[in-house]
Amino acid sequence: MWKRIDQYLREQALNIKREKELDMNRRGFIAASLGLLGVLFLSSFPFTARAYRAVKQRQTPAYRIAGLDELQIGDSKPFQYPHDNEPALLIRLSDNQYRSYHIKCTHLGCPVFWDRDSGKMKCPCHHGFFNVEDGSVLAGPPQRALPAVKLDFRSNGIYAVGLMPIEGHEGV
Amino acid sequence: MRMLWWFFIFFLAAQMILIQFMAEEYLAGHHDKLPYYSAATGFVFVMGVLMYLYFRNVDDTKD
Ligand code: FES
Repeated sequence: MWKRIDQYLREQALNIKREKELDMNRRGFIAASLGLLGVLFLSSFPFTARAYRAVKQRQTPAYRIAGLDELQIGDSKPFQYPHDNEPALLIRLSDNQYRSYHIKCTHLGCPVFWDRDSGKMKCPCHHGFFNVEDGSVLAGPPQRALPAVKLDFRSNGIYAVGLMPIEGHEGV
Repeated sequence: MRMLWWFFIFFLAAQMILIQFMAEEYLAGHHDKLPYYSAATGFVFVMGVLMYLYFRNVDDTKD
């Protein structure tokens, strides 16, 4: 009994087995780790595939807002995107410059409008002002910028094709 | 081959760190960054293969 235990411990502690040693020589180790590198690489595929699926699902369908020459320079047009309860605004700044934002004020949710004379976006409730170039807050109580709508110009009109990721909120 | 051994230790470490970062990004929901990590692990793998081939050549000429 004791002999066997002793032998077992010896085997465990002095793990010197000739064949094993030959197996795990340097070249063997390198080949094994090469395999491991490959396995890790392959194992990253399912992640990526799932990620792509998630991104696809999040994509909202394109919505036609207006014809290409429907708006005069300085005009704006309200629309709902991506759902009926999310009002947004398309603004034409110059010949080929358009901007589009959700117009629910980031303060308490009043509808923001485009004030052509001052060149700013205004919230009538508590006098919040937003920059029309990027939706950032210029003045007033709101703390966060207006979310921008991604536009796509196609031959038959201007389309809303998604939302710009908000800084620090990607993928949520 | 001795040199290569160290290279591979380095590659393994890099690869594991990349995978770990990748898993973290995945759990955090930053799905748009995952392809880059995947590409990076692929790059490390390809580098490993190239290193292996190169050093094997060197070894064979030495013998
Ligand atoms: S709701 Fe717009 S400023 Fe208060």
